[in-house]
Amino acid sequence: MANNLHNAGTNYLYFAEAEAATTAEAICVPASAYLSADPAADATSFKFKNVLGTATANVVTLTHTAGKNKEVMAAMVEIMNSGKGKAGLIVVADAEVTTDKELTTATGGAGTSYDPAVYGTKTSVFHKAFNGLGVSAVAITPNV
Amino acid sequence: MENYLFFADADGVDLTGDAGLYPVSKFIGIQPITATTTGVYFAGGTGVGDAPELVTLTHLNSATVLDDQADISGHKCQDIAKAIVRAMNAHPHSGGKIIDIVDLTNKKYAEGLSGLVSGVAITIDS
Repeated sequence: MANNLHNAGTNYLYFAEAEAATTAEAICVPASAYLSADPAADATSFKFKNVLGTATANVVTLTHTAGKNKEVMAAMVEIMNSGKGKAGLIVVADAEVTTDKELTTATGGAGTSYDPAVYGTKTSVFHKAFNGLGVSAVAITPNV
Repeated sequence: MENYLFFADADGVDLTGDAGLYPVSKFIGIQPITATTTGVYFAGGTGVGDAPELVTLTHLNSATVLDDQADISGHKCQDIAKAIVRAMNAHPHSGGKIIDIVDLTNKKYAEGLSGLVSGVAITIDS
């Protein structure tokens, strides 16, 4: 399934699970690949055309405060339609949290101990449109 | 007119799979494959079978001290996505450009990818 309606000025959406190390743990898709949304008790799933081009979908499930499904859907629409005249990559929900491990010496070079204080860590990032909705986790299911 | 994205490996552009040129309209998506590789997918380009074309980019990883930025700033697929999206949306009023994303033969890179991507592999009808 090709996505034919994107070119210059298109928004592209980025999602990542808590660990992004292999297939379907993170995806970037054009907003035009959006298919549908489906609510659950404390989560909403969004379907996108499969990045592998197959006749299946990639499902991105956002965990959020119970009862906020419609608000989360509205936020997604706001995000997909944002950036008029300034389209680009939008980090919608990046739950990737890196482990604060770094083999280093006290001076910061290669070594044998972990010193996260030297390098810091990456924490999760959720689009501001989700503020107040309790979006807290991302799950990506391929080939649905 | 739309932009076209160019990828090439390091051993010359003279054999099948050495390089690929894809219209932006054929872009499907990006996802990590391993800690050190990211896949960029385009709708089939052969007209036969037409499974998607997969461009696999090898990049920095979290396995060694020198390359362990991924432990700190996350998987490099996001940086790669930013660079490719920037290229796809470039020249909005003219378009029709060939944009080097990663051309290892000629050492040309899209903004943000120099020093990040070290390998290109193209799988036709993946």
